[in-house]
Amino acid sequence: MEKTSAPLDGKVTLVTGAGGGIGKSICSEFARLGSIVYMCDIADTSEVAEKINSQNGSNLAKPLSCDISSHEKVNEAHNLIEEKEGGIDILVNNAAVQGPKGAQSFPEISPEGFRKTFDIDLSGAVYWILKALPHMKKQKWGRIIFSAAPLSSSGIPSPYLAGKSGFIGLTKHIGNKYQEYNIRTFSLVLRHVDTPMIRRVLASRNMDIDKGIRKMHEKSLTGKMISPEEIARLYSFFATAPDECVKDLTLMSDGGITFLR
Amino acid sequence: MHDGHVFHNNKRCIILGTKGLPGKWIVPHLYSAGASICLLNTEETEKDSLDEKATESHKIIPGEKESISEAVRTFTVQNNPIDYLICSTNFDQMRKELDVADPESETWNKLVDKWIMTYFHLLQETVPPMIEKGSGKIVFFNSTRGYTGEGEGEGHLSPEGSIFEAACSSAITGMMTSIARDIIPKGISINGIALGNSLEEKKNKVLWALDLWLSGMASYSCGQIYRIY
Repeated sequence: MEKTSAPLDGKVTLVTGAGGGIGKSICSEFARLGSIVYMCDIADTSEVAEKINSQNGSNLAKPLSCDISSHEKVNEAHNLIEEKEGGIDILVNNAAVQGPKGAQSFPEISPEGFRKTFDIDLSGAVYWILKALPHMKKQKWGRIIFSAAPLSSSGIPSPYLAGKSGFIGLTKHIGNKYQEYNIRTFSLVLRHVDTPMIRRVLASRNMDIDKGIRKMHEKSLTGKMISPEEIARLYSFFATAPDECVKDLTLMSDGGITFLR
Repeated sequence: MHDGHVFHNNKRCIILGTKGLPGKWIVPHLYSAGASICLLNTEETEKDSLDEKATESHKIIPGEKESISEAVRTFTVQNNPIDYLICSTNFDQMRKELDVADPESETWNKLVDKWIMTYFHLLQETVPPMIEKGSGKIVFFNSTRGYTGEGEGEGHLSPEGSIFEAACSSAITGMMTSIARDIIPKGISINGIALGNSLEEKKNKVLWALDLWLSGMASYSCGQIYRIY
């Protein structure tokens, strides 16, 4: 019997922030759908990649260590992928840090801290896009996905929100400018995702983690936070969308917290 | 779990407005995916191929509660409960009627009955059984003219007379947003699709957006409107 091909067979995906809660789920889902997945993170993702490969019975998930706030490091990492695979077909800009160590509120935040956070959260995405676009243009196909955040988030450090909001402009601009190259863009505007990062944030604020998590679930109109697995499914739904179905899309995914609460 | 496709097998849906676009696309799309369909239309027209795909087809009187209740009850008695409610309208027909140089208050009143009140009554009929079941998906169609006050996008001029469409369309957004707060905690999703001017070439975009809302994958996107220019 002929084997049915998976929807992302032959595609090369790069996911930044691949070692975090959302990143792991995206990598797992995309590899499950047949894509080669480069798991880009400043931390070592070898163990997670191995786990994904053993779950899927394949060798599609590949660790990739890179500090995306440095364009030289991104260039080096991209050269490796280009040599092996020809280029990146699907780019998922998911990496983020909430803020620098030390003061995060304004005006106490240091310029260096602001810049470093901003570079991880937005410049890193720009560096990867600049490297990925020529291949996407050449083959007349590409998908660029962003894990964004709502503009009205309160209590979020300014460089994080600046970076995440920049994704929305990139989504619109790239989607329009490269429409004829079938390069499609998607921003999922996320608020409150049930990840280890959110637990770390609560702990850093000396809050009761279980109580804090319960409150966050309750804040959503749906009664629960979105899970990394749900995000991964949405991303794959977008990545597999035929060219004619969508050009650029920014989708608020916040459980109604931003505008309906 | 999906593999690049969304299926609607055995889903029971009520679709309003199938005598023009986008309803004409939606019915075969859901039918071929295995859905059981009840069509509601406000226009008196000949039966067409879509009626054959439907389990039921009803003519309702725009904005009239009794007529809408009766049609919904007939379907729910046989197929209780409803999984999807899709509220659309015949955009081409509506625009023909509205895009005139000197719109009158009578035209406005007709539009309110046809669009706002028909959506409202349909919600009142279908939401209680959805609440009882603890699930259901609602998709409203409206128009991008309600956002931009313009035609195809920013900087595009509206056709004359589309003032009514812009007002009603924004009103639908407001109604949906408010109702979203009440019904989402009860397990029902409600989202919208706003359409621009030239519908003909947008079939794939409309159906993809519909699948996005109906699939449940975007259930954390509460009361959101997907704009298709």
